[in-house]
Amino acid sequence: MPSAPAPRVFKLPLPAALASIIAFTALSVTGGGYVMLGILALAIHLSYAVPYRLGDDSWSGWMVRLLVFGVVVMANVAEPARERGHGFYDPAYIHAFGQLCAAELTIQCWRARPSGGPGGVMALLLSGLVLLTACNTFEYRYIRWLAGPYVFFAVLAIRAGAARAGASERRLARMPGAWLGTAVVLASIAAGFGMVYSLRAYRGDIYRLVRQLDDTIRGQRQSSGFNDRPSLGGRSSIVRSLARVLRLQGARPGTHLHGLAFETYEHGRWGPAVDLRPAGTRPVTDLNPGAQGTRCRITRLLDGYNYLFVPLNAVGVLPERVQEVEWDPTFLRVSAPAPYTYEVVLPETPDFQGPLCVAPDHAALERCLTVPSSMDHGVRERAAEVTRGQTTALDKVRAIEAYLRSAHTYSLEARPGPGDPVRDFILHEDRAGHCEYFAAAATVLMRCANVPSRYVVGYYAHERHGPGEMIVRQQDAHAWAEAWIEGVGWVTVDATPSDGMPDQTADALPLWRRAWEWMNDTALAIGDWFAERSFVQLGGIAAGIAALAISLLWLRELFARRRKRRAERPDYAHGPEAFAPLAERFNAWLAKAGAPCPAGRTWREHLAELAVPKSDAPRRALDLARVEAFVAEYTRARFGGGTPERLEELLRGLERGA
Amino acid sequence: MSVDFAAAVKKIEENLGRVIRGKAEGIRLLMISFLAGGHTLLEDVPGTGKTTLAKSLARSIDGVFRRVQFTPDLLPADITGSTFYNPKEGQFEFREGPVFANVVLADEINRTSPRTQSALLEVMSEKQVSVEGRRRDLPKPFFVIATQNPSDFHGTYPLPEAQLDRFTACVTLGYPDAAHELEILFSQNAAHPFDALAPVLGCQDVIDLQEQVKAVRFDKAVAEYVVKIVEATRADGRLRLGLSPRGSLALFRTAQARARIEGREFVIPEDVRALAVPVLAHRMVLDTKAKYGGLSPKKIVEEILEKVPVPR
Repeated sequence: MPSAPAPRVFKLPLPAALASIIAFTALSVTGGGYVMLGILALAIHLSYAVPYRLGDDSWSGWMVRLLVFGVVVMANVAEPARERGHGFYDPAYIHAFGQLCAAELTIQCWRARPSGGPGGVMALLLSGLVLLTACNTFEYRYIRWLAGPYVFFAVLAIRAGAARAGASERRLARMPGAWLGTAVVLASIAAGFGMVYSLRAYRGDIYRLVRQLDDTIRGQRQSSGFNDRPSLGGRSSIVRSLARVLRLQGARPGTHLHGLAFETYEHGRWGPAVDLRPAGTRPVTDLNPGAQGTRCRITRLLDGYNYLFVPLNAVGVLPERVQEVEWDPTFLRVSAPAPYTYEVVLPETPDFQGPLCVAPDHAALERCLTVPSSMDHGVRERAAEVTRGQTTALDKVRAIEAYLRSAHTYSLEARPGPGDPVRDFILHEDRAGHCEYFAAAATVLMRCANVPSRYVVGYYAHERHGPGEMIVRQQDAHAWAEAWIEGVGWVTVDATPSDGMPDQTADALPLWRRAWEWMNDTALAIGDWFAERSFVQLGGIAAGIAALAISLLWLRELFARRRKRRAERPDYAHGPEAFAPLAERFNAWLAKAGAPCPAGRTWREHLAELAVPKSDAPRRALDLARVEAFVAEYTRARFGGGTPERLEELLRGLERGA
Repeated sequence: MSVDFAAAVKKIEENLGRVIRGKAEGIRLLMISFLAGGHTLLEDVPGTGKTTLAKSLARSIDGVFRRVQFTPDLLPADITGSTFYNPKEGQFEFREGPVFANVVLADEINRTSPRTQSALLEVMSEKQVSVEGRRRDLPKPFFVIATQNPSDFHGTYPLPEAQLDRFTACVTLGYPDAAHELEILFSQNAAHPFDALAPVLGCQDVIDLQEQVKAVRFDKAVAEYVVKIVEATRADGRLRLGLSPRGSLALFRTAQARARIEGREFVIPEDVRALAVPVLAHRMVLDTKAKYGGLSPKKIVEEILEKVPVPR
């Protein structure tokens, strides 16, 4: 017969506790956080000495969890010098995850009944997670020595857990014979080494996997960038993906973000980009620092794009961190890694000529007027035809824009012929093309009409993302033209039909991607929020959370006590006074019917007696079934907390019938 | 999730009915006492199935069952457990006594000395054991069934009043009628039906059932009725000892259990009346004159029930 389960306080089996401490040590040698992990390890030890345990109700457990987790998150994420920008696979976050596991493990040790089966299986699993988290940095110097003992104690803990029911502390001492014991120790050490070294051996693969995942999520690093010598082909030269490139705060939807400009075109290929020419670039710390106007914050989220994308009419550009920006009148470049934030001052009027709209010098003007040699007479004629009757340069530009929008159709897939793609596109109105064709055609036609123009690639911002915020994705890459008009300056000429603009052609965002982005943003936002706080503020917040948790616990205790007191108070629900006259009337009626009920009997007992016919007693003319129905109803209402409404009716029926 | 009360009680009663034939009333009383969280004294002549009933109940609830045969030489430590020196470990260890179980059968409880009987006092009322200054809680649920043989006086010690008061109900099985006795003869021919019994409830279910009992509504008028009955016993000149508040509490709780077993969510005066004799009578001590005048506590309770006005 099994022994009676004596109520005992849960204690983590000693081997599991030792395994946990080893995992903690591993985490602290790779990622730091000695103080936090030390406190947690101490708490595990204390759980052996102190008999108090968190109650089985999840409430108090969650309060403690909130408190401990809050402290862990603050201690980890709040490091201001942390290298940010990785989202939740940031090393700091991984280390924080390890510490969270460690904290949960400690909480499990303090629970009256820990989750996850007997012998602290949950605690052991958590300790495994802590160790794996420690391994993620591939810091082997210590871990290879710690993994062996960890495996050894984990095996012992599993054994203790499998043997169930208490006394696992003693089980440790009762190891099998010396030879077998030595074999287990050696095997464990070998397994530990094996684990660590296989992790090390596959480190490259693991990195690659993570990198691949990262690339899939954020978009390819290299190939999706803007081409320095874009050529016109079947598909757009810019890779379309849902990767987020920029975040804009304070800009209006429908903004063209100028990236690279090209002046030279030859045989289906633009370039080289203006910025690649050796001369002309000069470093600045900011463009027009005293600029007045609306501020727009732009954050570059993706590496591999070294250009600052800025609206053409920007009044000023102010990099967030003082860093040198290479500046040419047509482009801005910075070498800082993503995320990189800069501010752009937007003008009041759309045609404002800012630092990017520097008047072209003679050579540049010449380049901007050069009609490529591959354009034949037909193209010039078409230009003349389109601009016929237009006198000013601006009217010519608008006429060309309107012509391209109305006469040509948009398609993501173009089918270029054997000749020059731009020439063919202009001359054959049935040819469909993407934005690069429209931009190139506009540039060429403007040049034919003697308006200096250049070809520009950049982004078209349209996707709203919360109040006053926009997100630009790789698929929002766009091409357009810019024309120099005497007396006005540089103007944006976007000849792409409205159905071909990125806001129309954008792919829908899958739900998983949305969720992923949300998680990433939240992780970053939390990190930023903590990073912005000083240690004094963080201490204040921690104290506030602690005070809140304690007061909540206290309030809960108060409520529980009050509820208990109320429950203990006997339920003296007075039967409504309305019952007393009914009882009196029924007694009177019984007496009148010749069957008075004694005070020391219940009606039911009395009726049961009446039901047995006695030879000497006179026969009673009582409809027992009806009387019993009344008594049953009365009893239910009187003692069961009901109302006397129906009784009145039943009793009246009895009284009338008698 | 709470256990279905009616179904659970039915299952246990069926189980017990398979072993103890024709004693539905006794079984019901045992169930009431069990679900009210109390202990039961089975008082009967030998061979009526007291021990079998206790064993069957223990087996029906999948709990730990221990039996203590009370003999004149039994010592308190034999019941509660004691510490002993373990030379291998080099330290004292506590060895649990037979009371560390869910159902404890104290067989022939009146055969042991009052000293040993008193060891059960703390066990029964507080459901704990104090040995060498250290308190140990007993498992839950905890239920003591004691049997005693009233006809045999030789070598017995009558239970002390304090002990009797700790039994919630005193159940008398009595002899079965002829038809049932015939059934018993044949049912035990091949094998004892006890061997085929299977547990129908877990310990946690029982605790749940006992909690459900506490939720049964008790009207103030009915509670006052309980108090009046108890007061009447204290005022009765024929009794040397009336009822303690423990007695009224027992009546209160068992009335709730009876109401719940009968499918009601509220107690009615009949519950109190039906349980007054089995719950109260064994606690009362008769005056010497009344004792030899042929009165019995049962009769006095019945008289009181006839006198005290029933709440309407």
